[in-house]
Amino acid sequence: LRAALDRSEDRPAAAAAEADVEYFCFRIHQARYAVLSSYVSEVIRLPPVTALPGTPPFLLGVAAHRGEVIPVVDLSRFLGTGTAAVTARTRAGIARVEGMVVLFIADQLEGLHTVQAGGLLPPPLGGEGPAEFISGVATEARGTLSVLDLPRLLSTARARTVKR
Amino acid sequence: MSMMGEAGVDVLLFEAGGFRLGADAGAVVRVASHRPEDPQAATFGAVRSGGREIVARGRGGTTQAVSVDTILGVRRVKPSDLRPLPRFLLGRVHPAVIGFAVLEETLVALVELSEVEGAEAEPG
Repeated sequence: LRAALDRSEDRPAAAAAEADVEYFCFRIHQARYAVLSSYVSEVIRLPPVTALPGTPPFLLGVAAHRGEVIPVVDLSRFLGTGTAAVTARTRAGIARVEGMVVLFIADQLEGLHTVQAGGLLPPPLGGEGPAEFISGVATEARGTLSVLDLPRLLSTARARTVKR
Repeated sequence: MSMMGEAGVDVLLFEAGGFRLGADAGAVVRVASHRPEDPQAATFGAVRSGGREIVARGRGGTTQAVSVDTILGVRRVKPSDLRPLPRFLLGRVHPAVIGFAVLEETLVALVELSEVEGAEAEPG
C-alpha cells in the first residue's frame, strides 16, 4: 500500500511539471520577456498618470482604473534597460500579485503565449539588471523568451521605492 | 481632513515642485506671498515659479508654511471620490502623501501640509 501511495503522489506533480504553461509576453528594447499569465488580469490603455513626489524614476505615479488607485511601473526603467515611450496609445498590463496591484508598461505588449512542456530552461547564472529576475528561458523561433519572476520583481521594486 | 461630512471635504488644490496636489482646506490658515526676507518655507521639491506659500495649522497650535508654485482653488470632494494609498505604496511614498482624490477620472495626491519635509513650525 505504501508503495502505491508513493506512486499516486508522484503522478499529479509529474503531470504539472509536463503541462504547457501560458505566459503574458512583452518586449523591452527588442528583448522578449514574459510573466505567468495568471498574474495579468487585464490590458488597458494607460489612463492619465499622476506623478508623486519622492518616488524613483521607474515609478511613474498612479492612475485610476474603475475607481481603483494603481501604481504605474515602467519595467524598462526598473530593469535598467532604458525608458518606455509613453504616448496616448500606450497600453498597460494590470498585474495582481500577493495582494498588490500594479500597472506595468513596456515598449510593446505582445499578449498571451504558451510555452510547451519542457520548453523552459533554467536561467543563466548570475548577472544584474533583468537577469536578476529571470526564472527561466525558452528558446523559440521568434527569439529567446525570458520569464520574469514577477512576485520577486514587484517585491524588489517596492523595496526600492523608498520614501524621501 | 477636518471638514469631512456627507457633502464631502473641501480640498485646496495647488501645484508645487511640478506636482498637482491637494490639502485639507480646513487646515489652511492663509495663503500668502512669500517674500525673500521671509523664513524658508518647506517644499515638495524644486519650486518653479514660487512666490506663494500656504500657511497651515500644524500640531500643538503651531503653524507651518509650505512654498508652492500656483494655487488652483478649492474643490469639494465627495467621500466616495477619496481613496487611500494602495498597498504597494504604503510606507514607500513621500510621508506627506496620505491618499488621493478622484477628480474627473484623474487623481490628485492629498497631502498633510504639516508633514512636508523641512516645514518649520511657528507658534500659532
